[in-house]
Amino acid sequence: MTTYLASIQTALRAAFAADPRVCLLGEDVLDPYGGAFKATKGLSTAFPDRVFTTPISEGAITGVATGLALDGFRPVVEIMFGDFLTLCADQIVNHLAKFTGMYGATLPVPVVIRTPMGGGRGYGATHSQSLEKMFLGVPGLTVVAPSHAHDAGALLKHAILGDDAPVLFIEHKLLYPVDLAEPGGSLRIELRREASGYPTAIVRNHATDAPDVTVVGYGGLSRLVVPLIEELAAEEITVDAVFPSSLTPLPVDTLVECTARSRRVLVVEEGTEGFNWGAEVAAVLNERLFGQLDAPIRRLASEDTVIPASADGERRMLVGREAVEDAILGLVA
Amino acid sequence: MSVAVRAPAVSVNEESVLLVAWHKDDGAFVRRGEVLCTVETSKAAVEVEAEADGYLRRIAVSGRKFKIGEALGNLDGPADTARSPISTPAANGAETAAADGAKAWTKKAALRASRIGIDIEAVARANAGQTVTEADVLAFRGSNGTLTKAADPGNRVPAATIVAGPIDLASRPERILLLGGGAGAGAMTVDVLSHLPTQRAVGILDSNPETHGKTVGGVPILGGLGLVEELWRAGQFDSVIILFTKDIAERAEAFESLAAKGIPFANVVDRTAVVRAGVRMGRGNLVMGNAYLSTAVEIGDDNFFASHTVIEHHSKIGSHCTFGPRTTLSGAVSVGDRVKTGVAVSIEPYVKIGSRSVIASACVITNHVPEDSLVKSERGHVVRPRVEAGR
Repeated sequence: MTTYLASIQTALRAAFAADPRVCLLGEDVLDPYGGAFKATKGLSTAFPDRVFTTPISEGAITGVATGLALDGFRPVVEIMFGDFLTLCADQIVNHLAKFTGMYGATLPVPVVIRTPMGGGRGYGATHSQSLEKMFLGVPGLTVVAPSHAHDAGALLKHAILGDDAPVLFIEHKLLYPVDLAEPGGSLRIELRREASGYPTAIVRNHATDAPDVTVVGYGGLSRLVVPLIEELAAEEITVDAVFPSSLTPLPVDTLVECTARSRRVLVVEEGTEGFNWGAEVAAVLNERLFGQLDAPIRRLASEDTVIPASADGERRMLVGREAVEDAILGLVA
Repeated sequence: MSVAVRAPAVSVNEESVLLVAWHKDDGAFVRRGEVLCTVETSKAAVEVEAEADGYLRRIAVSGRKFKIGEALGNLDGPADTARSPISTPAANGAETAAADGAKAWTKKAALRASRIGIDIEAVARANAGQTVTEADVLAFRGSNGTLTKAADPGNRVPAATIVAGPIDLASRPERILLLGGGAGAGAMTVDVLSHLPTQRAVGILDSNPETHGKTVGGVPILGGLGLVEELWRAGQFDSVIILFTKDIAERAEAFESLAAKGIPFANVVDRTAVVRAGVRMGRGNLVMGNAYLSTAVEIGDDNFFASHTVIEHHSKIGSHCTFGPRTTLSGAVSVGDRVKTGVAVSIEPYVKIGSRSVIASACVITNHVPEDSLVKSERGHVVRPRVEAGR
């Protein structure tokens, strides 16, 4: 049993060991502290000349990493909270995502920006967001968000060593202590390879070809959805839970094929509702499956409001297990 | 009843906390909210409060680290303040426990029963304590061998009233099977339904075998009227509506026979028809374009209202009536069952039209019409050919 966090830690060490060009920059990343979420614990001890603690300037961190990448390194940037991406957004959007497009394929920018996102710990409005949607649709930028049904560490290692394009790598903070999923009980897990190199995890609570409902989600929501569908198996509700690991590029063929089996689909995400990943998924599914679905494509997201610091308030506005269950049952009804 | 005092999750970074000091003696009685001890992480020292009244039993020793969630001690309730069990609302089938304490039915079974019109509790009773599955629901027959009727499913147009408000696009469109629509009536109704976002025509049944296999507006004519039950059991539609109007007795008989088998009937109201506040409608009514159903009108089952029919306020209509285009009823008119009107019939206020009456086109009714009447007026007829006198 490996936790999501342990698999990230292992992957970083493995990437550093495999390639001397790999380095890491971030705030508070040095041992003994080892990073705000402990992802870099042990790393600076093992590789003291390649792990850099920085001043509190996300723009500087990302800019320096971009320069290192242009100089032939394979830098990993740790942004302490995904909410702080706004501070380095210019470096991401206008610099590292665009250089290859502007100056040619001979100038790859193999930067991986790792950052935790997500709420549920009462950290308040500016430390709990899921801001993926702000970075979707930036040409040249791959956005990856592994669930616990993926081998998160393997994906990170691929992003660092095997992907020359810049990657924004999102880790949901509530997934860190969660054990990576293993098939068992009533669950079957399929990892489907995608052209992007970032596989899609399909978790099924049945063994048929035509489940009642397809649920599409990503990242931290797997910790809610997977136990939920395990319980729904006993209620005779059969579900395929499809978790792409790359939000963009979107694994369209996989999503279409899975949705076509049930003809009823729920797209769920923790980010706020409106103009989000689910909107793109729904539009694409509509284009490909128009007239063949048994129900309108259903989307679920958190309430379009500022995340409260109070536990109660946060629980009410973030997408929760009950909302997902209600939406699934509503599709079956 | 003992409540554990657990090491709290203070900081995201750390899996354990240091117990700095206890503030209450072992065995002391504490009240809810009193500070029991202080724990510390790399960032802050935090006080742990008692979650309930009780006697403190200390387990942990200060100066040591404990994992988050580990019990530091217990609060034992005094014997005379034992709490009653908290009742939690259980979901669906868990509310009604089966014989061995397992849930009475699966959620899927409950959804299926609601959709096809079966009372899940009746199935549970018949299942003698076993958890009811979807298969049990589909196989269920009432004591007289027929499908039983259920309580209202809730997420579709309720049987008793018609909802003339904002459309709930989140619900799946109601799938309607048209009975007797091989000819013009089918084309007309398919057209009406194609403009209604919450309903759609999924098939047509017609007694004329020459129509079978054809389509009307893209909707297939599947076969004869005898197919209804088979299609119902296969879950191919949500409700039916009867389109043939020539023979009212035949129409009424078809309605009653299908209703007795538990087949639900839809109300279909053209998008351009106006249905005012307080209108109450039974089932199986078809209301065509630009019809007007005024405030507080009450309508029974299986009626047909051709285009531009006007039913003014507080009128009451029974069942199995058919009204020709531009039939106009004034206020507080009362119409029985199985009444037929022609084109442009006008009925003045407070008039009663008895059941099974037929009123020919263009009549103006000013007095009560007894049951089983035929009412005609001077029809237009050719007087003589026109003669050109001079020019």
